[in-house]
Amino acid sequence: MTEVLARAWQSRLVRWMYSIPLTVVCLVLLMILTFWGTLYQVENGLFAAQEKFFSSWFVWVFGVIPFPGAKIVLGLLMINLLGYMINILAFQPLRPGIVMIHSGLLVMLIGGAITHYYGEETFLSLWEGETANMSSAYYEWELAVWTRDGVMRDVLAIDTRGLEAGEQLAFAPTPITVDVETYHPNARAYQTRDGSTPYLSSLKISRIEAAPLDKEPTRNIPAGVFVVNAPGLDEPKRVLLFGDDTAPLIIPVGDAEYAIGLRQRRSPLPLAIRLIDFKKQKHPGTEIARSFSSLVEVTADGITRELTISMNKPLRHRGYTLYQQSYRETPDGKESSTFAVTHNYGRLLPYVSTAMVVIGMIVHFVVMLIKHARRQSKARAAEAVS
Amino acid sequence: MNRCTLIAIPLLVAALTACENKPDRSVRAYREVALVADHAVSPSAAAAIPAAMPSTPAANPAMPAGASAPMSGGMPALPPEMQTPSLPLAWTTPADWEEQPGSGMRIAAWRVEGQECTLMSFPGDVGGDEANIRRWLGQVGHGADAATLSAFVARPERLTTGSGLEVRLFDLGALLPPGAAQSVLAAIIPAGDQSIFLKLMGDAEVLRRQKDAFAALSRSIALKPEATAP
Repeated sequence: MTEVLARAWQSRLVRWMYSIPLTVVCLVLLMILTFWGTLYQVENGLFAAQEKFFSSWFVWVFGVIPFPGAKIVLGLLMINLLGYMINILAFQPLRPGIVMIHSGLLVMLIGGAITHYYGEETFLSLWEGETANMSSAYYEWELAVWTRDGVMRDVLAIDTRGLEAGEQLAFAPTPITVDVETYHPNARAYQTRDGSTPYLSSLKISRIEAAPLDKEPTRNIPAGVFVVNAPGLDEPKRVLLFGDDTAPLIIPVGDAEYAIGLRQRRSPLPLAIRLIDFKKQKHPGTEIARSFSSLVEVTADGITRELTISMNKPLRHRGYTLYQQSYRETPDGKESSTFAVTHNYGRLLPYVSTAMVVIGMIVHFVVMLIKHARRQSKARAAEAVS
Repeated sequence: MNRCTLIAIPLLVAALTACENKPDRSVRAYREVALVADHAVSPSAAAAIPAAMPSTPAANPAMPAGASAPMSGGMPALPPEMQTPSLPLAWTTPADWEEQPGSGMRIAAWRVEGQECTLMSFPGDVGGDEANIRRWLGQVGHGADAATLSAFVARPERLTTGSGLEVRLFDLGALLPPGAAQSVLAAIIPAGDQSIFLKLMGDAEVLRRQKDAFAALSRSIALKPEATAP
């Protein structure tokens, strides 16, 4: 069995998978992707470049020719590194420094994969006095239905990414189903002067039209016309929902009232946070903020405490990090604070990886130094003898 | 390249392409704290909203100086008392300007050559012209010394609207260094105990081209009859 494995390991394909030429090919492809993506970003924005070159398996040239995307190149590089490590551990004299450097690089790639697949970046905006236990996505949206029951509410939500006319969405266990009549990921909304509209719309929007997707995805505001059905309704309701609606639409169904809204996708936090006070310091003689911080009350695991989140002092709790990001203020002195919320299981891996690489390089250097010293000493001894 | 490789590569491409994320239509259930009391509008109540009620912009609301993140989305982000309409106003949108519904404190908004113009009103003078202009300068990354600013504020371009309101028009380009990329055009219109603010901020070149249209828009602003009635 071991012999079979050893033979397979030495086969041409497997040897190529952990060969230096494949490493070079991968690095060259990454260089091309980085260069190409940078040029693409100038015209199409950072988000589109990330999606096309770095979050994809393939980049389609002219729509038909596949060019390896960063996912496939980094995946190959990971296999290449792992294979190389196995090879030097199993078949070559032990070189601890080299093994550690390669392990560090592998940890870096694994950390990147974890962040890509499981990391989440959202935000949370609170006016002074408000409490929240959810954060919002920057550019992902959801169609949400909830009952109005005071401070806490049970929400059912369906992501709208890729939503198309003709789809039917069921908000089980409520009796509500929604037929998608039209949906635009970015839309313009219009009102008539007299406020007339053929739809149920909280802001009496009478018409929406598709707008081209903005290269800055946070500027895309979706809108759609939906037909809401439920057994308790006299007739299906045609509702128009716009991402910038300032209030949800209320639909009475039998004895219950359901709120429905198109809003940025919510993510639950393992804590509730209340903004007590927002403070900011300005540069003297200007309105430009020098520093700002938020005094918050955080309730988590049954414990409530007050703490300050400032620009260099984030709040960390159970893998979530809340950074002070920005603020808003109104002329009459009301202030709100916005926190960037990140949730990343691989947060520490870049540090671990860097430490491993540094330690590996030191170990390798020391080993090489000792070897060199020994060689020198042997050479001197040989010289003395001769 | 042998035949197996020729077959394997397209298969691998097809398989990995199929791995791209497919839309997920499953229902997510969660329990959330209502940020503010729902001031939702029921279908029957919707009809009662006055036509001049601030409505909704087609782009994310602009942020104040220092702010950079989008505000929370479809959920009410402003306390209800801040969403009360300011002044019921009427106006004439210039040709080539795209009118958009307002929202929150905005009575209306326009898009022109990719730049955004907003119309708002607030009680009082919101700190005075000098403080406002200093803030707007900060929003385009510039400042001005007190003497320059005082002199600038004292000499606005004075216009009159069709309905007789006085307009103070400020072209902040005059305070900016030559070649500044961003600029601000602002019109301040006192209306009784309120001030109306019309502001166009963005690319300096576009603002230069659109200044006449901006002035025409500011001159067209009028109080609707219900606001002027005793």
